[in-house]
Amino acid sequence: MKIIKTMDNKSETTVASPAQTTLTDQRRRRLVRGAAAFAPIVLTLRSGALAAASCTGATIVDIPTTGNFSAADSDVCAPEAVVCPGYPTSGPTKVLTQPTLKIQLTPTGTSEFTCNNPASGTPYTGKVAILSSVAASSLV
Amino acid sequence: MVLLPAAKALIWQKWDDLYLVYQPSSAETHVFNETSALILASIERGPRPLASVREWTADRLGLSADDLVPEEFDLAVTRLEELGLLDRGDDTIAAE
Repeated sequence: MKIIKTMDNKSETTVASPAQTTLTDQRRRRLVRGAAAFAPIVLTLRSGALAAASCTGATIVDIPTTGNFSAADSDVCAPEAVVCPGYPTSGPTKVLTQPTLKIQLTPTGTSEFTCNNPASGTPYTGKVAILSSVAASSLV
Repeated sequence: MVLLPAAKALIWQKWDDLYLVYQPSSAETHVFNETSALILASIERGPRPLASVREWTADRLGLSADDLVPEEFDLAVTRLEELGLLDRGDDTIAAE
């Protein structure tokens, strides 16, 4: 059963079948919230003691002396991130979710990027943790 | 795309439009909305290609697949994979 209030404050009561209700609800949700409201949300809660021991996904890239490497546009580098105990120190791994330096990648103009030291402006080389923007948000 | 054992052990609690989800394998608690919950539900009965997951999820939400922005959907799948809840293999929306 649905109660509809009109602009002139008259109320109407209608009975909708379950199928009608579902369709109406779906349309209403789309109209009211818009499709953007259905973007998937995946958040991980942090709590003091657990945060120190929790890890998030990352990839350790061995950046060559040119400083250039392949990554996604939205990736972030974390040159001082600490690899979680027991996880690999190269390739896909996990790093501690603790506060650390996070740097937005700099596009080189080709399909590659550099991870530039914010103090010197020179690109980092050697092993550096690369994280997706979502994973990086857990390194508060 | 395949559901991993850690996802099968999740403990779910509905909270308005959201889900509080405890993951025993990592001792972490996550917040999912209906869309991300449906991503996991879609592969609960067996592997599915990513495009099919997106279509099924959109259908369950009363949307068309185009209403779910591929980049946002891809990012959520990547995050669920990072949490050890699914394995996407080489499956990407861009590749399809």
